[in-house]
Amino acid sequence: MKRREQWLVAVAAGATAAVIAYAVVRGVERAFFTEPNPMILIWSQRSPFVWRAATALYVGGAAAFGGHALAARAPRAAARCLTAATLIAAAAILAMAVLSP
Amino acid sequence: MSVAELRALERLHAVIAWLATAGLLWAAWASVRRRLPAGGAAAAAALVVLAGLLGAALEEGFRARVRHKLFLAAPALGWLFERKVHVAFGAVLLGVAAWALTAALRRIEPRADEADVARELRRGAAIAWTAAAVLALLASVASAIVARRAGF
Repeated sequence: MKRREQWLVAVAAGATAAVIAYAVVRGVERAFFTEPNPMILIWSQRSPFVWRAATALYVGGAAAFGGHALAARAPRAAARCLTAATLIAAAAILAMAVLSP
Repeated sequence: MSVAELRALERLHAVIAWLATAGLLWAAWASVRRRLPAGGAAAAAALVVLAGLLGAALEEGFRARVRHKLFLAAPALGWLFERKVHVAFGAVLLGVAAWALTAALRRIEPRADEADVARELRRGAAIAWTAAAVLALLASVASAIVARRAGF
């Protein structure tokens, strides 16, 4: 795998990891940090979605470097891991949206 | 942002989001059939990213003007919109992942010594396009249902 291809795999790894991180962060929020009832809450200064998305993108950014390293050393394993990670990401975000919105 | 500006942005977001959904559905179909052109993949990913950015720009206005009223009027629709936001985030990022995998595949495909890597990337790209398309369709349908009841 050439350098540019490694970076493309890194982008895919980062994006996929960000989706998984988003689902995990939301799950942790629901389990440990109860939000105020949205029917009572008129307005909040901090947007929970923006913070959740920022955290997920930060994790995704870190995972991109891991994806790049794996693509450089073991391209076959990187491609296989990405296929599995994509399936996990789609299932995690769907399960989270259905079970704990 | 004024209410008029928010309404205009909301309409633009809706149009771009449906275009992105159509683009992702086409990309998923073309990817499974191995007939996805590089330009088409880039356009589908760019549309879904643009739709996501427009949605993010509307977030503060929605939180300040619509969210509370929506939950008071119809809690089920309020929770549907919360679900839609999560699913849309997944659609945007899986769309980006699908584009990156497709672009990597285009470059690796001609090399015979990396045929097994290409095969795995092709599989991953098809899964990513399909997942992004399904998530985008769910998000667009949920948005349309909520938009019939609430808006800026």
